Amino acid sequence: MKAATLSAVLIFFLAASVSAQTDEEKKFLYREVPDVSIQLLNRRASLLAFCKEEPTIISLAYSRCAGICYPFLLTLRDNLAEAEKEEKKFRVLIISFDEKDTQENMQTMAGAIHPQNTSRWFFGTIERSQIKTFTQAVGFTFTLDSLSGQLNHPPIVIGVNGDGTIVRIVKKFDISNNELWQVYHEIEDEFVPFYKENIATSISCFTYDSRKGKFIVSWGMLLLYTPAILVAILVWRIFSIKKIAGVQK
Amino acid sequence: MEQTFFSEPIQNKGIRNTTLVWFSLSLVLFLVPAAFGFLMRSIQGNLLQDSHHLFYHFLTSHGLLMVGIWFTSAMALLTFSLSKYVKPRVGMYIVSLSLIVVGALMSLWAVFIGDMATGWYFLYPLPMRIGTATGRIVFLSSIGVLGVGWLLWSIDLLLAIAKKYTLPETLGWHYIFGESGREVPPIIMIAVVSLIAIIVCILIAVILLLLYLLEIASSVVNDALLMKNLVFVFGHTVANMNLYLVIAVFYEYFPKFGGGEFKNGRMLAIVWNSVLGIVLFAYFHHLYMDFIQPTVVQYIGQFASYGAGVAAATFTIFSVLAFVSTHKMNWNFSSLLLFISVAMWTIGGVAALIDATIPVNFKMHNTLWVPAHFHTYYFTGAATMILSFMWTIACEVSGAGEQPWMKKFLLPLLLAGASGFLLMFYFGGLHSIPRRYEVYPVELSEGTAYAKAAAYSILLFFAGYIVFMGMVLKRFLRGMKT
Repeated sequence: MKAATLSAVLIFFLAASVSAQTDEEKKFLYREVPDVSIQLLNRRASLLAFCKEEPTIISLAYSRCAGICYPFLLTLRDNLAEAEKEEKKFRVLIISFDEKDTQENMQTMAGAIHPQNTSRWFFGTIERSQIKTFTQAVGFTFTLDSLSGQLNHPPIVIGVNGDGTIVRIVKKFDISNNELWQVYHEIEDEFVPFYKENIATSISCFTYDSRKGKFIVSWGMLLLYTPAILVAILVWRIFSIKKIAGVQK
Repeated sequence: MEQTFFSEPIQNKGIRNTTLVWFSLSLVLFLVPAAFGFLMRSIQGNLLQDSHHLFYHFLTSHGLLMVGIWFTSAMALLTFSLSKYVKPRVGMYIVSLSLIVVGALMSLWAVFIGDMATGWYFLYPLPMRIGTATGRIVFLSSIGVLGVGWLLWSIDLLLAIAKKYTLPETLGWHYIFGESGREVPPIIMIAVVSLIAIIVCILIAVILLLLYLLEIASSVVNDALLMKNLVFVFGHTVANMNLYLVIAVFYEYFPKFGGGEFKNGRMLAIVWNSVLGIVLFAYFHHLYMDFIQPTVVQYIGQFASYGAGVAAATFTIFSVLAFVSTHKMNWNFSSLLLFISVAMWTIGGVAALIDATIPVNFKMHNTLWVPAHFHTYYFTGAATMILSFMWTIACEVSGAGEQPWMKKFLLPLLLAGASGFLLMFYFGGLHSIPRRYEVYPVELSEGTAYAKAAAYSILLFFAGYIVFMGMVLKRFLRGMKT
């Protein structure tokens, strides 16, 4: 019995500790996107001015990537399609951080990703001298693999509201629909009352269904009130031991 | 002494001497966190220039030691008083007290050597961000050691009660349902309610510590909202229970000053059963400003705060007022101090309810109004009740009586000092002076003036307390020799 209880506790904590990671998102939030120059298909623009036109979801990728860029953008495309169906008003901007990329490369990439709503998806490049300025401003780091010539980097989704302010940065491959819905709400300046600051948190009292805007009671609530149930059993046991309760009746 | 209230507990030599040793120790130990309190107000009042860097160390240790000392003293007073009806084990009593002393010393080390100036409720993630690595482990371990001491003690008291009463009897269910049954003194019922809640709190503290250790030992990051909920359901409820432990003894002995007694009955049983049902939800008022806590929980917190406070306090206050107005009271130093402490509990309780009201809380919770209310009901309420009982016990174990000047001079001196320092907190709260500020900026210079006045008032209180402590210790020593 004791062993079973201990095992259950251990499994519970091990399960809770899966997928730990650090999150530095808040260091880069609530600042304007850098006013760097971007080259899109038909026009050159200031990134800040572009974002101020409409809420924007930005992702960084490069066209010759043999790693996560294409699978990530394809997944993002499918997930975003769901929000686009519900007429969420935002634009998607995929910009390259590779000095070697040209506008032509990015258009080829656009063809490979093939988003449904092409008028709201933009593929472009940043002015070479300003790549570092932009990546530093959103906490995006990448390194050159000298053997393969590939750029090692994390996947990233940056939510920018209509004022050009960065309101969410999510750096993970398996970005959930719930997290994406938080990004949609945030970029439209809708109040998101709850989200885990760090998705790697062990357990929490509540989770928040961003799409429905509802709280869901989570395991943490059980931690708060399980002791009361355990003590009720303990006290009942203390008082029901016959040799104790019966002695002086 | 013309009256002897504690004659039966005094006959139990083991319980008596252990209680007297702890009471003596606590009277002296109390001076340490009290001095920290004085130093904090002196720093805020610009009376001390060189100790600013220690302000948050004083703040942390002041809170931890005050709660630790008075909670343990309340448990000791309850154990001593309960020994009239049941037989707590002296061995477990001594083991628990030893653990608590070790825990208190560890906490002092962690705060001042390990640099763990986190505030007494060590709100997450502060313990992960400040202090040394060893300090962090010692700090959390000290909470663990204190918890184990209190847990063993609480279970032992429940076991002692269970040897004589059944659970429905102790909770007064036969009164509630109008069934016949044996008479159960209110002290037993209130003690059981409080001990159950205390054990729940300690188990919650265990979970809290485990989560901290998990984060220290691995790369897991805890959820800040969960950690805040855990720390306050533990901290708030333990501080609350501290008062109820003393109230249990109060119900037993205060009426004896008027030659009567508080009998258990239907109303009393309903009140204390309802306290057991709602006390664990009252802490939510500490999280009103945590906007991510769902709104429904905030409403529960609002009603539970009112429910837990109003039920127990109102019933007790009206019972006391009705009793003193219908009985010829022996108004000596002890009974006067007890009556005053009920008044202070009421004042502090009303101030707490004001703060627990959501729209007010948004304006007042980060001001000196908060230390004002909890010092009123905790220090001049619960702790003063304990001091009053200590005096009664000291007189009875030593056979020495009370000098008339105590009532005329010592009591006003203690009251003037305590009221002075409390009033400065209230004035600060009314003028939106923030709490936990080490020094006040020019814009809040009123706060500096209040702090200075509070520091002088504390000195006044100390003058009276030293005299009181000397007289009690002298009587305890005499009592232990007999």
